[in-house]
Amino acid sequence: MDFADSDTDLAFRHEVGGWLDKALADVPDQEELTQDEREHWSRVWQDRLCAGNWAGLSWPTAHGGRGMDALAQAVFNEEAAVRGAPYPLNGVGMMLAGPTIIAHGTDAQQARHLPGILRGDEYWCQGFSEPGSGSDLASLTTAATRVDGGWRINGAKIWTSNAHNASRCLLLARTDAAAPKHEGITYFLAPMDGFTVRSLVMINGDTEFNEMFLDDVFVADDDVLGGVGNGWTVALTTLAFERGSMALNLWVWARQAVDRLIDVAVERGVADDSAFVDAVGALQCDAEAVRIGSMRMLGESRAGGVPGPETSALKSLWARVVQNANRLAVQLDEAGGVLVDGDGAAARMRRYLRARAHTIEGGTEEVQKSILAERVLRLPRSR
Amino acid sequence: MRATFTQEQQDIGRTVGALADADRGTARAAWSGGWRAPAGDGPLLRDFGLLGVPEPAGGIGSSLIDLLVAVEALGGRLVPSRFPAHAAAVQLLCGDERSGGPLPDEVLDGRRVLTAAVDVPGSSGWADAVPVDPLVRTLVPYAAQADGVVALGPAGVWFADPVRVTERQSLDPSVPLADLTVAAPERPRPAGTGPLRAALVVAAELCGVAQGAIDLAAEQARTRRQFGRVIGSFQGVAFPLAEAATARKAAWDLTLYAAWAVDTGHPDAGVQVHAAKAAAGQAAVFAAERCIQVHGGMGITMEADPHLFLRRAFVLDARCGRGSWHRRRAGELRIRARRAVRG
Ligand SMILES: Cc1cc2nc3c(=O)[nH]c(=O)nc-3n(C[C@H](O)[C@H](O)[C@H](O)COP(=O)(O)OP(=O)(O)OC[C@H]3O[C@@H](n4cnc5c(N)ncnc54)[C@H](O)[C@@H]3O)c2cc1C
Repeated sequence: MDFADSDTDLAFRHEVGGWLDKALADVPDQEELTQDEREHWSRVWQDRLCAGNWAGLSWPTAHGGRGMDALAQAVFNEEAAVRGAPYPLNGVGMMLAGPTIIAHGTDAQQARHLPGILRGDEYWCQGFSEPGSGSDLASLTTAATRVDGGWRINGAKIWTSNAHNASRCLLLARTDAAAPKHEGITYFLAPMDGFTVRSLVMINGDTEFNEMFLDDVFVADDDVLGGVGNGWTVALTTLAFERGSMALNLWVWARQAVDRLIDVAVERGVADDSAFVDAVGALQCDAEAVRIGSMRMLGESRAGGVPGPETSALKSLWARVVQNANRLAVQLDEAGGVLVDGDGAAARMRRYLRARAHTIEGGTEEVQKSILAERVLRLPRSR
Repeated sequence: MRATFTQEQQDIGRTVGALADADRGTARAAWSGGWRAPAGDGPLLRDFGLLGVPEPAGGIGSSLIDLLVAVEALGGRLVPSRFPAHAAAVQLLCGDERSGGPLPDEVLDGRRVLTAAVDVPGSSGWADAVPVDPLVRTLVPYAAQADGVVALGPAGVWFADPVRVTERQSLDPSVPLADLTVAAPERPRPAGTGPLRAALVVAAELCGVAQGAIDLAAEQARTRRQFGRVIGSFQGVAFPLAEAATARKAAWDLTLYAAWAVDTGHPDAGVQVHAAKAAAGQAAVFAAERCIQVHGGMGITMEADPHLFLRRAFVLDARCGRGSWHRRRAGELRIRARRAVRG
């Protein structure tokens, strides 16, 4: 077992670092910005990634990508995150839509959708969750009925990140109400022209996600991905890419959360208190476990394996470190975090509140545990 | 980067696992009549003594991870072999490549069984600071059953002559523990990374103990029925076991990485080892506690096995620097590193 970069890995890391340093030269620290400013830089950053030919880094060359492996993508994301790069505004396109279309799309669909993602002129969102269907995603009720040349879709989606910037949606809808719940679902690459998108304010005041209303929205047959009734299988592919891409960034965010916490403690003169030192010791264990676990996961996938249920353990650990570090950081504030008129205090509280979502988004903590119980411990299904 | 087990490491895990399977139940046997060498003890000491030993110390290029894979397999079955304690003592001697030269053949081929004297009474850390009585050590495993002692002190490591051995009553009778008074060293060698290496041997065994406890608990959760269904179908039962599995995975990943960091002279090695030892102790104790809980009343009996995992977990967590001490060290080093970056 070897955790060192190979010479090729090192050379690539160097190339990436050189590019990033230049591309990030005029980009401010995202942590202190308003949401509008952050979205602005996310868009700028997406454009730079596309212009630099990084958007399809781990896509096959046949589809316009660079044909590099998951580890290269990990190295890129790691180097970007370490430098505090913005989050690219079309992450869903690059990390979920592209790979899913490559896996399940027809030649025509690939030709139609992939170039737009690589060029950065079509942004995507993920329309899976519904008001009545979150953890139990397969119970979704957004209904697609057959019409001439395609489908007429009615229903509501919710918690859709970045829908306000997207023009295409990875949309799950029920095409056969009579079939068993996993079999009646179809996956659409839906244009969002007829969608009504309303932003939702999160507990920290940001508006990252939305609700979407679909009233008689028409989607053509050409935009069915992976065949009518096969939506659940295709959705699982997307969710697997979502889990796979997680490991590429998570550990950096965990480490940064701990770094920021220590900075606050140093500033407040409590960094040597034994209770604080012990807390950092515990956070360090979890944060490093995320990093090392990610490396092992990438090692397995490089050796030809697929990421297993361990990704659920990594996600759990990551959420815990970031939540705990951010909570401690606000608690160290002068007034225990409750006076938020200073910039620093407000930013810390914003991060803490945002981190509460980490045990909900991308599959809740409880769902991760039930995956571990079933697939690692071989216990019966409990959901 | 090849962050996967090599073929050889997988083979070691399988071979030692098979030896350990044959010795299942030997930890319980120590409750009647005290510790006896399990059948695998001799073969382990004889055939696996070169695992993890660096070449200057007489090794054949086997990595520390090789050794830890073997020790983890033993921990999972609670095999009370002297091998892990012997290996920890050997590793204690392997921390400074420039001093000492090769270890004696009879140590490497297991004819001379060693144990490590690292912990100081009344202190939760290992003996790298000047203790009150510099020559007393505690929590020394298999002291009466070993042929030699390797001691750690502020001046370094040395083959120590025990002046007095006081057998203590161990929480885990399959791991006899003693207090030792050793003679002052004549020419100690620099400890280097020796204490880190020894601590990782203990961490690996803890990861094994955690895994064994989780396996036993999951087996119970899959088979015991109440309210007309197996209890593992209740989330109140299943989720804590999932947490135990997560903690155990974290601890094992930390341990493997720390071993790699020590072997390759990575500047981070210290903080990594402290994190690994702390996490491994916590994971093992937590898993064993959950294992007792899942067994209900049966878990509270001497007759059932869960308490054996808890006892071993406690003994190992306390040895080679207590888990709580390692956690604090990890915190201190992490804060220091961040301060250095910020200037
Ligand atoms: C910031 C953020 C961004 C998001 N972005 C997107 C997006 O872009 N696209 C998208 O489709 N979705 C998105 N989501 C939605 C997310 O996937 C869902 O919120 C999540 O799957 C949970 O569904 P829910 O909110 O309906 O909660 P519910 O499923 O109603 O869960 C409520 C609580 O009950 C628990 N629970 C439910 N079932 C069980 C069970 N069987 N056993 C034990 N506990 C259970 C849950 O763990 C949770 O604690 C986002 C969510 C957030 C917070």
